[in-house]
Amino acid sequence: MKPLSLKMRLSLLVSVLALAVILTVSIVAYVELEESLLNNVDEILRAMGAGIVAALDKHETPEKREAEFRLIVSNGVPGTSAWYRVWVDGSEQDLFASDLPPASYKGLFLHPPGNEQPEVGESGFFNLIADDAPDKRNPNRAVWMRHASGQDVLNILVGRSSHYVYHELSEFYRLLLIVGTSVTLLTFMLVPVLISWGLRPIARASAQLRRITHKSLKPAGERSEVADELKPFVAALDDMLARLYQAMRRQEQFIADAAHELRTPVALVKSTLQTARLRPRTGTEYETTIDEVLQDIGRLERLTEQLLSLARLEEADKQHLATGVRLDALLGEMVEIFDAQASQQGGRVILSTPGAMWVRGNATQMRQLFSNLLDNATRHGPPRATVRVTVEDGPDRQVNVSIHDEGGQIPPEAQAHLFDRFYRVDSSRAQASGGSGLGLGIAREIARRHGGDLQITSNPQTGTIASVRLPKR
Amino acid sequence: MRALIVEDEARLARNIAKALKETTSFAVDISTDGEDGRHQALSNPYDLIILDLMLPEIDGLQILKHLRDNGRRVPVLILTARDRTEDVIKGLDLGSDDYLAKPFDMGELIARCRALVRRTYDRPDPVVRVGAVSVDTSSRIVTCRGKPVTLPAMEYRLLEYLVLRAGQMVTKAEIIEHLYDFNSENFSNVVEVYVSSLRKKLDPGPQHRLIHTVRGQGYLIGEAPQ
Repeated sequence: MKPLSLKMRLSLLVSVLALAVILTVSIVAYVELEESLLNNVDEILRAMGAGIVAALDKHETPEKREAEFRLIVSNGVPGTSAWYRVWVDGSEQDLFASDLPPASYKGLFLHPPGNEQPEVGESGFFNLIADDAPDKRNPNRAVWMRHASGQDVLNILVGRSSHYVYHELSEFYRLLLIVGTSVTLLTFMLVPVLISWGLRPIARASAQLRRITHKSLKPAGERSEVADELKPFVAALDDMLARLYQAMRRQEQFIADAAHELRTPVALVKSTLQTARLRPRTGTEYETTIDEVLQDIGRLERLTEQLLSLARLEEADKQHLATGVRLDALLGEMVEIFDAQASQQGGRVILSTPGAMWVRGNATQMRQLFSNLLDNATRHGPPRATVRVTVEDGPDRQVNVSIHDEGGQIPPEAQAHLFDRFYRVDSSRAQASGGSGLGLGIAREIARRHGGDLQITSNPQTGTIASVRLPKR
Repeated sequence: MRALIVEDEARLARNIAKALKETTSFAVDISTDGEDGRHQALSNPYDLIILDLMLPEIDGLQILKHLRDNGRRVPVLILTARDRTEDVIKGLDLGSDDYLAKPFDMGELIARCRALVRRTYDRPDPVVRVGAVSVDTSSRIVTCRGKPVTLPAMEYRLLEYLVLRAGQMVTKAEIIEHLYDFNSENFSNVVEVYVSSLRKKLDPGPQHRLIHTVRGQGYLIGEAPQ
């Protein structure tokens, strides 16, 4: 099912809330009005009853009394007078009586129900319900008072139509219905508009987002017109954009650097060959040219290798790290090869290891890591130097491998850049010896992917030490 | 003519120098880092500077800016692996005269170098004629009254410099500065030897000298401005 839009949800919610509020207010108002109207009827009846009682206590002629009673119960509006009866307890004969209420209400007026009879000096109210079809919703109202006068107890019954109460209530009910319905409808129509207005910052933000492409990823500066509630969201987005931008910049920089690094040896080869072709050369000159070109091709080859392994590292997944590698054996093989190479220049590579040492990882990558480090140590160290490779137990179930080249030093200002891609400590010397400027970066990347690290320390006293930390299997 | 190559890839610099020496009459100096390159570019009157951009110590563009800030008019050709249009525009706008991306063609580089020098000396035609002598600066063929004259490298270099500045007085100091690189052993009296050798090969007779000596100051080829 398609989820309701945010706007729809909010509109529904607000409309339901509005409806509930209107309903509650209406019910309360209706009940209050009904109560006050009914109280009003009772108050008038009580006042009339009290007036009749007061008139009874006066010594007047019966005619004058009748006239006074009529005055008391008249509303001033013809045909809306109240009705009254005055009789002595026990007597069937009324002392005084007005016109009777309409026929169907007569019964209860003439014979008020016994259970409604109040104490002497009190008054009681009851509804005059129609005899034939008891109309509970539309009754007349009556007050029954009992008043002690001398030896006798006088009963005073005043009845009055309360139809107007129900008429007014039904008017009020209609009003509520009309107002309530229109307010609810209005809410339902206005809220979406208001919500659209309220959501405008989101619309604006998304319009801005839509305009972002990989070329305009550069994060905008301060966004002033962002609503407070959206700030964390926008900040998070900006943050993400900044990270993406950084990554893209790094990637672009890497491609530019790689292009530069690849072009330089190509330019070298081309210029060497074209220069050689400028005029006829001697055999020795041609040999020199060929050797130089071969050297450049070698450099190009190593660079290509390193770039490819970097690319493979980027896409290699961690599954490959699950196998175990016997580090001492792997290093044994490699040290043998590097020692054979170094001994041609009078140098040595020596391994010392405490015995079987297993690490968790990928053998190919491990080989590359140590090959890069051994290559650096044998190439950048002084000639005829000894390179010592030491494997030992480290803390926290780790293995430490240190590759120590005596006398090799890295200038302090260069140490911060050792892991920068394409950085070379001494560009002209490194180029002659074929460094790509990628080896250390790749080595550290491999170490870190294996949950370890690589650090290089160098000073004139101790020489250069590359320390690799790797977790044991 | 004298050129400076500022290029950290030493062998590339040597290749260019070799090609320039073999196919043009340039004396060539090489500098492999930015600091040294800037110093050399400022302290010698080069006719051309070939400048790499990514250099150790100082970036090539900074050297260029420094040269122009100091009012140097020397033509600069940027030779770099940066080939994006933005980089080319930036290089040219900072005051370089030409821009070539690596890997480049040696023949093209040399042709561009020659063109830049022609422009500096306001000689759009590569063949320069002074009196009966004509010097083709592209092929380095000299003819005198229609007959080809073969000249040793240094004599040709001197003649080319003099004809490019034909009608102007050229001091001996200027000749030495423009004809020798740092590796040459220059002896000032050698200039006189070359001049007299050129006169023998090119002058019709002692009365009609092509190369005039301005006593105590230098030399002048062709007609002096009135």
